[in-house]
Amino acid sequence: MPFPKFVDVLTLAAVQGLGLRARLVAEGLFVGLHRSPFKGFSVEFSEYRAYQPGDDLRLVDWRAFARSDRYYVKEFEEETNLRFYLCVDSSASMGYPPDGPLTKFDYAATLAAASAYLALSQRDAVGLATFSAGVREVVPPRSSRKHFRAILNVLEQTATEGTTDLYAALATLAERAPRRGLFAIFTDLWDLRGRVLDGLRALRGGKHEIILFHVLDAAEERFPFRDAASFEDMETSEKVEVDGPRFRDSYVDALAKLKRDYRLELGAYDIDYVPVVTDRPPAEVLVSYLGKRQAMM
Amino acid sequence: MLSFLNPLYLLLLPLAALPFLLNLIKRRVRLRLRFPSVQLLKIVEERRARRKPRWHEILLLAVRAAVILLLVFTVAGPRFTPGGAAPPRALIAVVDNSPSMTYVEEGETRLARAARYARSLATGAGPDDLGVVLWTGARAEGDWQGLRDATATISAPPAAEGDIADALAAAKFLWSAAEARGRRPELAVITDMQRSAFEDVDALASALPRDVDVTFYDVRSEVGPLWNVAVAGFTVTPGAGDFFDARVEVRQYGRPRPAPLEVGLGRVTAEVPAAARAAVRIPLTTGGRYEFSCRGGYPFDDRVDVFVPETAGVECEVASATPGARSWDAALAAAGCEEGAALESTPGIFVLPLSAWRESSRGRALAERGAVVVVVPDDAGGGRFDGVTTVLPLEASPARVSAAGGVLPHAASAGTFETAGVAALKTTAPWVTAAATSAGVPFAVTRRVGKGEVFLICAPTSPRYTNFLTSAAFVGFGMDLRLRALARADPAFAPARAFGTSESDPTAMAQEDMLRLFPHAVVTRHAPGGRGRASVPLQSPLAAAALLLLVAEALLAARGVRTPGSAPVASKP
Repeated sequence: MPFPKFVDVLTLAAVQGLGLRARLVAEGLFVGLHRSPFKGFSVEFSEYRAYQPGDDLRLVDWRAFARSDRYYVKEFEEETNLRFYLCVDSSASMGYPPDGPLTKFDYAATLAAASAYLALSQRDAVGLATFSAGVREVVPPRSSRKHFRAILNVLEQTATEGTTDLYAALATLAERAPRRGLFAIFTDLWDLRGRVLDGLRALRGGKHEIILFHVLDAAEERFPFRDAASFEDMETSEKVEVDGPRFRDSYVDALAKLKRDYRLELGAYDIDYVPVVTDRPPAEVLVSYLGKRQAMM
Repeated sequence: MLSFLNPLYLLLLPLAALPFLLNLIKRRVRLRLRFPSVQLLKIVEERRARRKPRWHEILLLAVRAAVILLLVFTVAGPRFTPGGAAPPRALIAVVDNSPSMTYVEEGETRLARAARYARSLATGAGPDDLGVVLWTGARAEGDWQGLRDATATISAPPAAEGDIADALAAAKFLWSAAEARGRRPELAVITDMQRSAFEDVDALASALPRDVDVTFYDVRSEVGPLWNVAVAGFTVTPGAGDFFDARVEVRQYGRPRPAPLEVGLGRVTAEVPAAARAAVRIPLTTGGRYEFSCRGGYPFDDRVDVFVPETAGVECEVASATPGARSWDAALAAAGCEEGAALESTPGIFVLPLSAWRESSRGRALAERGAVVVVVPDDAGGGRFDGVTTVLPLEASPARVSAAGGVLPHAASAGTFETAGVAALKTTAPWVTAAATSAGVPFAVTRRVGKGEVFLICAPTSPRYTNFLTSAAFVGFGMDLRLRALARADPAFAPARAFGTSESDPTAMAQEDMLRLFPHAVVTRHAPGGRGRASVPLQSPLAAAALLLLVAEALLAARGVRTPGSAPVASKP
């Protein structure tokens, strides 16, 4: 029986243990990308050298060939200064749906763990931070394989609680990461937009590269409620009464606009904005993003 | 004033609160959901609230409540009676007690109905309302008294000729009295609208005070025939083989019956359309005694035994009229003939007593020259044979009549006629069509003699039928004779036009005449009720309003307006 390209969310949710789940996703990544997605993640270009038979043709710089009529091969060296930081939002809103098979936090943790698995496979240094109103747990970056277990432990033991303050969390992380690094942030962005942007700006100010995974549940994305109800905020306990069917179109439009605005504003800061809905296989999300990223490089 | 036919339904009025109550209940049971993006929900909801004010939702609830209210009112049968809290009344009831009011319709005389109407005038009367009852056929005088008292002990005096003009004059005088001042003058005229009662009204009607409310209560029945006479007859002709065909014809005058008639000879029946003139063919297997019947509401629902000889070309005619129909002269007058003219005075018609027919050849001679001869029984000719029918073989000479029995020899014993009498006729005078009634209803036998016709009126010789020509039972028969005679004498005379199938009562006041005399009067066939004003049913407008509101509710719902708490259960995605 062939291995499925991407393990679907429900199957993934049934898998006990974040480590195994992350490996399943990572396997999907290998199948999906057919080559290491790791290039361009935490390595940097070093120099050109003349092509020699046996070299990987993918490394030939065709633009240099066009200019000089000679074959040159790009050489990379590991960016020892670059650190891969995984920042996972663990505020109360990430616990949605509370009685669902896979909460947003579970999904984000799966994405983060899979990314960590891949990065560590390539001997990158990977660190982890969880945050809500501030930074809650930090695992400093390491490149050893055993470090994966430490990351998993923190993710598995983190409970979703508290309000979200992205600015406070990201500003703190920016202070703790003086050296240039790559930040992958997994959050639902339910914070004041100004605070979100301020936090990201603060992080970007440290020359860090940022990828923001905007994680939303399918119910948040499509608002499929058939009747009206009183909705209570998971973080602030504020209540609002809305009529599901009548309200849906307005809500969906407003959310689409919010995401469009984030994409534009974050793009202005060279921050990759990746909207994610939790009913999509995590491996597919990563493959899609990394594929685009590779194409851009 | 608003009243209700089914006021008990008003107990359902609290149902109008149902939309509001349901709304409250729904609010209580609403499911609460924990949700992460309430921030965004709030922003969107505020925007929506700005665009669609809350009063739309309240309006929706109000519309639903109004629909329930209207439906409850509709089933309660609301009626609006104009007037409301009116001032005290000074009502004068003029009751027509002319002879035409003795006419019986629907089991009571018009006069009895008029008295009933007059008593109804006091329904809903207040203690300050005054009234007087005046009779047209009596001396028109009376005194004011409480309206209830004035109508409580009303009883109709004997019918007498009169004119409502006298009553109007008395009414004017009464309204000018001190007691009537400060009260609203009302005039209620209860009549069968016969022209004869309105002859001298013109001047007085215009002299009535302008503020008088005039209502004419027409007591004529709407359901019974106002005026109807029928003549049924048949002619026997040779049919196929040895058979005969009887062509049965029914003529109706005045207002035709709405339902078809069923005529029959023996066991064979046929339906005659309810038209002014209609005929059907009934096959007969042989001559002999048949029972002729005509069912459909006429007196000759009684069976008539008819002897059909085995000779073709015989005719028989049976005339009858509705019970209570007008007298002979009145019917002729209604047909456009000279009022009061008797059959005897009609040119070409001769009326002879049976004894004269028997003892003289004058009648036969007249008939042979083209005259119409009507032979009526009399004491001399018919004798006093109680309960037995007079039969005459028309073409026979008095001698042959005598041989045939003349007046048949049957005794007082019932039933001998059908056996011995008819059997004797069959053997001795086979060319005679004879008829007899089994229930004492008169009939006529006709036979062409020379150029003319002879009609023999046959009837039991009871004192009731001594005056045949004015008997209601012979109105149609006599009228037909007279019209035919008039048509013969004057080719321009058109009986059909004069008589036809008119449904109107030519002796009654036409609507336009009433409007001319009393431009502001109300003419109604409804009995007085309440304060004498007809109430207006309000069901239809209320139902229409409810329908409109339902459409409005649907439009509001289509525009996305929902009640504030219209979601009892918030389902999960």
